[in-house]
Amino acid sequence: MAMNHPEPVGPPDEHPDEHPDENPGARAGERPGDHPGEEHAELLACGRDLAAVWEQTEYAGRPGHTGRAQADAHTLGCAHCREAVADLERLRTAALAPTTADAGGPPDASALVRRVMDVVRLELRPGRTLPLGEADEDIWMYESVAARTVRAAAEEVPGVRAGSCRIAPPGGGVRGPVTVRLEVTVEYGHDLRATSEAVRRGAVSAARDRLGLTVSALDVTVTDLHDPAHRPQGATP
Amino acid sequence: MTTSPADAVCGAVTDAVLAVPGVACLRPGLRGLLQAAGRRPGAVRVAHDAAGAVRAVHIEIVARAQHRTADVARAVRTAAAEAAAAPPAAVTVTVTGIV
Amino acid sequence: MSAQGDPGGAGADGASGAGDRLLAVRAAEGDEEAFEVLVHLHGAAMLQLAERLMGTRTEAEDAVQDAFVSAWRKLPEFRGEAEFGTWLHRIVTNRCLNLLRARRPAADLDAVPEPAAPEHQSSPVRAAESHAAAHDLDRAMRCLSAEQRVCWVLREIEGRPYESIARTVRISPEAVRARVFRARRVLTEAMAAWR
Repeated sequence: MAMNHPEPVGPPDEHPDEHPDENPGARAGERPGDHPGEEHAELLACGRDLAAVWEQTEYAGRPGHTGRAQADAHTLGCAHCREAVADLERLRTAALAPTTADAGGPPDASALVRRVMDVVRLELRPGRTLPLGEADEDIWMYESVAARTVRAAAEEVPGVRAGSCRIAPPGGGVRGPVTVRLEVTVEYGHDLRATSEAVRRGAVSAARDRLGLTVSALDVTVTDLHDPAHRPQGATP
Repeated sequence: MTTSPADAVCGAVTDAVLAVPGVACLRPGLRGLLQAAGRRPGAVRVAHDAAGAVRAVHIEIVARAQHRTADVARAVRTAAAEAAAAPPAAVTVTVTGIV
Repeated sequence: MSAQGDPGGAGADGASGAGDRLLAVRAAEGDEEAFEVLVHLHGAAMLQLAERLMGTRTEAEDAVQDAFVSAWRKLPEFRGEAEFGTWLHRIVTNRCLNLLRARRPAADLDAVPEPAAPEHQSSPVRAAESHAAAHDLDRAMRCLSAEQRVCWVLREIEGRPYESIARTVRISPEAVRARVFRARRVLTEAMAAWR
């Protein structure tokens, strides 16, 4: 087990404008003991390794954890070990004690939702545009907007939840009919073939009647079956 | 304070587009429909040729769900062409949302 | 919410893997309403996590808001390999980790704000004691490095296994163990006053 390589300082899936590898604070914030192998083991007066004694307390009585032994006869009987364990339990009690901040239940996320969606709605993610109307008309719409209408139409069919919906214009910038690839999940107990057909018919009609989008092919794939929803289909906004 | 001819065309097109039934608003993300003199809203862009005539008009709108989207876009194209005194072929309309 | 059809959200018990996957796919394709449902389903849990990591509610709210916006931008790359909740947890944790790293060391430990009072005390003496203990704990936590604090919170308060913490923070499980040990050491010393 190699111990001397430095740990990567930041994960790649971070916010793009942060550079954790160049963050001077990262190195400055490290303490001795952050790198395994750098520090000699801390021993209790009885000779036991304190880290190991403490780790034993994590798995006592918890099924499913592997790799670490349960508390052995020594730690159960030794005064030094028991004192060390008591210290840790005191710490845990203080750390896990509920505070008045917790008393109101889990934090209220509605303000968070509002603030996040305010930002999200202003961000334009154009994506590709689809040709509307006739070939000689210079009118278009965003794929993601058309997809919303197609998904809504699919979900008008009983037992259907819509997932991915990709709509492709004809290649080469030509104005012409689009092709749709729609994924849905269907409630247990529904006839898959009849449901898929109903979805296809509903989606093509919606594209034509609500959008004015001509669809040359519509692929419906049932990707999963789902349990009946606790809420009824067609929930109103 | 006088408006430049370019801004005047932009303004006329904007007004005409917003008057079309089925148009909810111009593409969101804009701060204010009528900017200070000299600045134009991004959802309506007008390009002029060397002689000062309108060469191209690009419009981005949010349409209302109660109307067929293509019909709204078509009506916007016609209204914008008229307001810009340009042929409809010069106008491109993109629907960026439906509400 | 969409005008027609349940967007495929949760059952009565809140966020579920299958429901999340559907919503995440739609949000990745630009469906803002689907993303809003995801924020609703995961918001409270992420706020609680961030508050434990950052120590204050306002910092937690800022961190989680930024994390969700970041998630929206990165969703097209996400592609559903992991569970959305796990992916989001990783983004929030790493955002908090970076914010903690950027904090200047607590030069003046007396400047630590008072923690919220502990609940359900049986006597005023015990209430005062545990309030003071909580304050000492808060102060002691500020002595931890960002990495130690995050590892300790994920292990002791969230109860996550070492392997899971290692994947989240992108260090080895051995390094996680070392940091958790160091944090326990520092914090038990601070609590020793109440022995």
